[in-house]
Amino acid sequence: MNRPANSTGKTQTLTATPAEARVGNPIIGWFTPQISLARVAIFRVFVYIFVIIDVLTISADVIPHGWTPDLYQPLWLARFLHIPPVSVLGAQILLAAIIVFSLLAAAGILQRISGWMVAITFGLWMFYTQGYGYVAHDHMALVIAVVVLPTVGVARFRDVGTTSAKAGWALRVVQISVILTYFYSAVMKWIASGNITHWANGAVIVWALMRRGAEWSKLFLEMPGLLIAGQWATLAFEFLSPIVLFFKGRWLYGAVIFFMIFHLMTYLALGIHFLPTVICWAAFLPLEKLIPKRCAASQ
Amino acid sequence: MDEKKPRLLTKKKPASESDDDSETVTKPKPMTKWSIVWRLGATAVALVILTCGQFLNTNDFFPLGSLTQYATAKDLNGEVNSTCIEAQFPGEDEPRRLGFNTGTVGIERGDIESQLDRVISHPELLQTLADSYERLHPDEPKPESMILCRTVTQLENGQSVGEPEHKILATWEVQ
Repeated sequence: MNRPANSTGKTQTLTATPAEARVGNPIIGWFTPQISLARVAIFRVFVYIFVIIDVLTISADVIPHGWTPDLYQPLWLARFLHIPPVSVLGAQILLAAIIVFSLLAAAGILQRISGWMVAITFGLWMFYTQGYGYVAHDHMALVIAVVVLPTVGVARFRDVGTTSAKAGWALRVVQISVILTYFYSAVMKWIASGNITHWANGAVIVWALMRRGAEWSKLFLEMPGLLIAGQWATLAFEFLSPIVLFFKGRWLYGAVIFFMIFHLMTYLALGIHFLPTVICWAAFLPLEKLIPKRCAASQ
Repeated sequence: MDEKKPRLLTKKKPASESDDDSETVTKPKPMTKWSIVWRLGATAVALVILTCGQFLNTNDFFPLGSLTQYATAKDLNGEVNSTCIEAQFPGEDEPRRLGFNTGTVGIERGDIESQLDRVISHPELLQTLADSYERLHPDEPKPESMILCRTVTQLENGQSVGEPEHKILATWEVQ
């Protein structure tokens, strides 16, 4: 992985530099690649703006949870930290704090403080959305992104030519989280079903369509053979997903587009959007290219 | 870039992380050994917890819990269960099906399904759904009882047969 930028001029996903090439241990080098700080600055905008959208829409159930304290089932870390059930007022204050700190963090104001405050307040919000029975796994990469981003330190939009291994580690961790969301869900299918062919040849999509399918997608209930083929395909790309971590250039763009289409399909058919994971796919892209050249700091 | 480094290192001492200073800096100082060690250590610990979460099949370690959604195999000749919530209102002959979501009863269907055994053995927990319904619908009559139910659809070769069966899982007289 630690090759210098190739001479073809093709897109590099994690900009390889001479310094990166000199990293002695290839494993350490892979986990801490030198990447542009501007990439982090832009990725932070994606993440923190999405956090605001998330708490107002996808995970907006925290305020109603204030009315149902008896149904609180705290997760391990919430039990360890003795976090009590949320009240309606507490949830409203938390919501306001998340929005304010996320706006500051997205704009790059008081970067470390605002980043850590989002990590704390959004983490608490997650305990309150996931701590009432159902735990959704589409938030894994987003929560990890919010925790690792403040470790990068200061990153400005104009830092296009400034590279950082701290930034490289943070985005690498987000990439790994995204990929393991798919890979471990395939592993879990194996564990939970005992025999993976039972899952792939079974009626999971039928079950999902019957419970929450859109009207148009219920047509597919007449075609169980097609749905079984879909289950095998899902299993195949989930198991193969780790190779995306090693893709570059067109292959990487192709993989990102493929996963976007997959999520679009599941959204249209089942209303499952997986947006918190989808947004984290941005960690794979050379986002610093979005910065106009005239805005980049002079070298 | 590399020629600049020695000059910068002599200028900036100690090389602090307050990186919002010089515009001439194009490459921050290399990470310290400790900086690399804790990052790789934290990554390794998180991966171990996440992996254990899968094999222990627990969501308890959120955000590093098991990725169980849609992981259970479903029999092509089995049943499709869907949990529902109904309320009996005064003056109405039949219980009325309510939306099983935060906007209607303060909680999502998935949350109750994830603690279904607990709710069935403690039907008094349905009181909190009734309370939420009242708060969210102040102009509507108060329910007399809450009914936790399930619709069961039989499959044959992956296709549904017959009408869904309706089962009552728990009832609670609203206080």
